Amino acid sequence: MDNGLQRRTEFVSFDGSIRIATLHQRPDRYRHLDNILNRTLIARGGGYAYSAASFGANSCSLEMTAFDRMLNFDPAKSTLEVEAGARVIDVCKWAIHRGLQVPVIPGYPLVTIGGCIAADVHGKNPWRDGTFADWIRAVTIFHPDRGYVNVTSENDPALFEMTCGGFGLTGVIVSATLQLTPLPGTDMDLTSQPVHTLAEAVELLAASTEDFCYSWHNATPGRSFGRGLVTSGRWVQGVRDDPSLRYRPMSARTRAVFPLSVWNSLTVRCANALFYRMNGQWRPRCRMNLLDAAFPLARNAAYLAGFGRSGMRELQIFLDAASIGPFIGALEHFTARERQPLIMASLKRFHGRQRSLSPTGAGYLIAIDFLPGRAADRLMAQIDGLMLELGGQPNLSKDSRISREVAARSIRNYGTFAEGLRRYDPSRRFGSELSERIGL
Amino acid sequence: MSYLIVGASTGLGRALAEEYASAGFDLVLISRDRRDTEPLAAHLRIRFGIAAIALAADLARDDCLTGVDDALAQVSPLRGVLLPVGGSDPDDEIGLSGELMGRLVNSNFLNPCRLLNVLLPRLRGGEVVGFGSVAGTRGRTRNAAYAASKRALMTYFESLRHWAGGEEIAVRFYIPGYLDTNLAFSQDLLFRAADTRRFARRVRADTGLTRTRYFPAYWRFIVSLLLLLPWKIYRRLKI
Repeated sequence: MDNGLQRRTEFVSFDGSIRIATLHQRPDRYRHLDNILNRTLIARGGGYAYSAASFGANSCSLEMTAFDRMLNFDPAKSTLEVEAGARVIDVCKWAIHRGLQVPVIPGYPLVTIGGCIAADVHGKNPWRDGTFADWIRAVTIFHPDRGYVNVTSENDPALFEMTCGGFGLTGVIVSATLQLTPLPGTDMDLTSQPVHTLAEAVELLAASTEDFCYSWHNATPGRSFGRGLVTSGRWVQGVRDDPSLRYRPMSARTRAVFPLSVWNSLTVRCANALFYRMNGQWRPRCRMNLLDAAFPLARNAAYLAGFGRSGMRELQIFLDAASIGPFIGALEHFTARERQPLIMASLKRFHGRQRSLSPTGAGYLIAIDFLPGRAADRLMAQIDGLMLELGGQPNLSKDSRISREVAARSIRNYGTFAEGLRRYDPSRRFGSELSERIGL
Repeated sequence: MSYLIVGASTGLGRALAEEYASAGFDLVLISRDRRDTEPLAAHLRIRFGIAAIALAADLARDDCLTGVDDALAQVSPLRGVLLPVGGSDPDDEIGLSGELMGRLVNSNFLNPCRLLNVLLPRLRGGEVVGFGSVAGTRGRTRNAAYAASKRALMTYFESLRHWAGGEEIAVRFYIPGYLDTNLAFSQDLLFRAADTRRFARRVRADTGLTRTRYFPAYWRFIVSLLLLLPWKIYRRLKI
């Protein structure tokens, strides 16, 4: 595609921490892929990864959003073949009209199907539903040296598993076949139960039998550290009017439109207290349409935009059931010592089988948001050490600063993934800032 | 009712296909590469439940019309023909080769007109929509053959409008400015590129009208100014 259809674009990671100006192409025909540049490439979807997974100083980003068509629907099997640039919200809305659902949905509606596969995202109940890759029946990937390859867990299990959660390093995901499931209803009854500590939330999550369950916590240092809400959702049987989702689309660039952050120690405490009271005391139960329930980030865009140009930092760490307790205890200790204004934390219970770089397994995923700064960097380094000590794993799509050493020691499949990639693609045609940073 | 869209695979053509499919019209989609129109046709069938047929055709060849006839036989009666077709080339400068010039004139002017002439007898009570370019309003320092062929197309559509009055065919011609296509993607533009989906909505909203229209509308003002400029000033702009 060296035909004048490229430009230089300054990309920014969704957390605002990485800005890189690099080559950018937006193929919209299959022959554009056939004639692709002879240099390092990386596919890009909606650009909602917090890390720089879809761009890099030495890579040309291929924005795949024009490849967003539905290719085949098999009503008997409830499978939908769709191009990788299709947005999750569009597939969800289409499926709802047919009484079907995408079982695992990320938190923002404009994430693409290719992005969901590359990061092997999770939804609101990974304990019951697993991760996105569990619902992928086939992917078609394009590699300049190998052409188009249709990969399933049967015909090439190694490549299939490297691609699901492989951050686009095996090639451009062009299309995928999704397994849809029957839609129980278009509404959910949500209940928010107040908890005083993260440990209390872990107990509630472990006992939950609801259709989905996650927790939110105040993480500012002090007496109210860990105070939060465990939100459980249960389907309301029956389908009513078309569910709608009202939101203002946000990109990494528009998220960072404010020059300054509105969040500081004081405003974070006030906002957390208000959120806790609104959802825990004033409105502990509500009925919500499934799109509003599935895409909380779309409804809470002000929270993300409030971080301004300097952005936020987020860590997501997967820990097994035996390690989550010690981790929470140490986290509270670190936070009190550093007086670092963490903002919020959340917990989800997980179940699944790890395929490539994205973490899953039986245990818990804890997400922690920070205000950026030197204190946050120090605290995150301490948390890295704790994660290594407890055998935890980072979520690379959310972590824009993890080092090669920490990644190599913490990601269980790091060695096998690196070896598999060397065998599959000796010329290493695909790479990003993320892959370079973690040494892949 | 159905529409035939030439150049349907990407950009404005694709936006028009989605717009008309969302309104329930059957479609015949023509482009050179079936790999692009086949997925689009499948998408429109799945998404909107219409009949959509993808056709790979080189309009420069006489035998392409057989395929068009076969495709039209498989959908509801033809209501209109949309021609968002054409292309430019970075080597399109004064002194370009005859071969390249021929290719540009064919794709932007001759081929769509040839197809149109064949289909006109079937379009009584229907409509024909052509697409020019603001590049064709006055000679520029580059894209000479492209601009000239778009200008020729505009003139042809004016003649068509004279003829079509008696045939009850609505003839519309749009003169778009910068559109958010892959062509504009790589260029530094003076004005923001317009959304092709918004343009497609405009085209459908004008159904049945006979007129020439700029899109976005402010281009009429810009073009009028450019036409008023004395040559001595215009040539210094190096547009």
